[in-house]
Amino acid sequence: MRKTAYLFCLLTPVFCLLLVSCDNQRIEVYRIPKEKVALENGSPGLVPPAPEAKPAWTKPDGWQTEPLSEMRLGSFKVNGPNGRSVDISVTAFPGDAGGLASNVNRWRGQVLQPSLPEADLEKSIQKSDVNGVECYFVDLQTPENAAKPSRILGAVIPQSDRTWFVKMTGDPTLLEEQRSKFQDFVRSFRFGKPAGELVTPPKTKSTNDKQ
Amino acid sequence: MTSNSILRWLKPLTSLKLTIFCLACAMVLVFVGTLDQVHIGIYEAQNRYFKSFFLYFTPPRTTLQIPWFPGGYLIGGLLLINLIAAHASRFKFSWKKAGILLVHSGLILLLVGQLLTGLFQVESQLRLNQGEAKNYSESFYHDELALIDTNATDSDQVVSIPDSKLSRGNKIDLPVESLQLVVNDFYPNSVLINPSQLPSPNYQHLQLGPMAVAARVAKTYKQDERNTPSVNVSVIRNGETVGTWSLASAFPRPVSFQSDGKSYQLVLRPKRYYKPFSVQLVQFSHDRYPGTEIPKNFSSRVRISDPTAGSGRETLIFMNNPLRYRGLTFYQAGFDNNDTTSILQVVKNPSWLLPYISCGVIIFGLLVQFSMHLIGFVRRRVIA
Repeated sequence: MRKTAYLFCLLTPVFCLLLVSCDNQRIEVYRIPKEKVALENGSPGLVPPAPEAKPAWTKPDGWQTEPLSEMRLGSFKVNGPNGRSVDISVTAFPGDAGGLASNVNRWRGQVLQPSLPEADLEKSIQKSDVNGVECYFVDLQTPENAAKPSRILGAVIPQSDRTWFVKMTGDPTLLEEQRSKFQDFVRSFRFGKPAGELVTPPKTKSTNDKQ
Repeated sequence: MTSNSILRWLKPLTSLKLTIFCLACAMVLVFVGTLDQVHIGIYEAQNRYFKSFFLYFTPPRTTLQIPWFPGGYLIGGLLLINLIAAHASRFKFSWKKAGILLVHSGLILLLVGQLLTGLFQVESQLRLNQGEAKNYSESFYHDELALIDTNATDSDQVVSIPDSKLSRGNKIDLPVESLQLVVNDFYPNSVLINPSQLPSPNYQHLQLGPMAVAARVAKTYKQDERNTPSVNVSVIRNGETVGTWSLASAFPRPVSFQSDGKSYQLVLRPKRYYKPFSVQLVQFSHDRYPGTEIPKNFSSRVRISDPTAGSGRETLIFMNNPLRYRGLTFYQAGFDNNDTTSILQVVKNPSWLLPYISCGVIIFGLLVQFSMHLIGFVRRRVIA
């Protein structure tokens, strides 16, 4: 019995070594159903979209710069009296990020307002210009009988390869005081940074993130 | 060599000193690995410290790798052998020690289970835009250079070359059609930028197109960032170059070419794990507490289409409520693109039951052993 057990002890490391030496990183060959993939013929046709650099902006006085999170490319906070505050975020997503209407309706949902059809939404969206670039402003507020009043001032700036979102949210009264600063901040966006800075794509958000 | 001399050689494996030594090494390994994990991330720390036989030291200005401390596989392996050998040398079955026997058996099962999990567990991500369906998931850590034979009408043949084989100067003989791949250059991580954004004209980069280059950057070890490699490869057939292309994993659009009258595609992309079924994202929900940005709930309503199981079915995946299907577990892991993209973590772990079984055996063994002691103690008290 003891000899058998010792033999087992000899074989165990050999077995483990064989297992560990299994090459999980080897060339594999397999078949898959046909996939429809848009492709480019040869290298001359391979033209990925030239990614835009992060815009430059001017931070208004009184805005506190906050640490960036996984999705935020800019983050600020304004503290008012009696514990009131507003939060300002700058984010960007590839392409049209779902479109202007769906994003404005998403913001409407965050202030407990119902979604509207695109035709009705246009009436509440203010079209403007940011250094020659089209920009859309929205102003949304919770219904009058809301238990916790809140307000969103938002700006959507579509670019060639991504759409930029600037959002101010928080206490309605403090937000109204910051309205002109918010508009000045958005209008200070300047796209097309000089060469020398490598741009990395924004990170995806995990459900483990606190906010 | 006689059997007695073999037994004499193996006797040190039964030593309790070996057990203490292994446990002390394990404590040091966990401590050092935890500290280094801050800099290199969990995945790299697991590979370097726990999924290795040794920790290595590279002297400056050399490429030597000198082992200086045992790694997880060596410590775990020695502990396993020590446990088995100790039992084998001192084993005399007795009901009084049944509990100890069960506990040690559970420990052995736990170590073996952990080894199997480390070797065979595969984690990947399934990233779905709303309405999109996919029959594959992608690795977060590994990429593949895929050569796709598109000549058949009903299916494609994929030759998947792992990124570990894509080192500069490497020549790879492909198992199809006498083709050979030569890696001219490889960047483990890169970013796609406009050529005008290069820090200098000599900055290491690969030209992907007239308006985009892949610039080499340092590898990232942050948990929420993915390395996006780039490669310049040449396809050779019978000594003649068929073509040379620069490819980037951040822009996984295949290039096509012809060789000997056959059509092929070549693409660098995150490593794919194909499934015999597809998953479609019907709706992703990111509920917040009203008036705040604080998340309340994340959920993905998905539709599974499995040709072997008849009609498809819908199911809801949300926090702490994964989908288990065909040996795979789908967890709600993340989201993107303004809540229009859901990211599911897909885990394949054939030995997932072993930790539960081993913990059950250990707990049962402990209960048996302590119960025997308790009953004996109570009896002695009663007699006294």
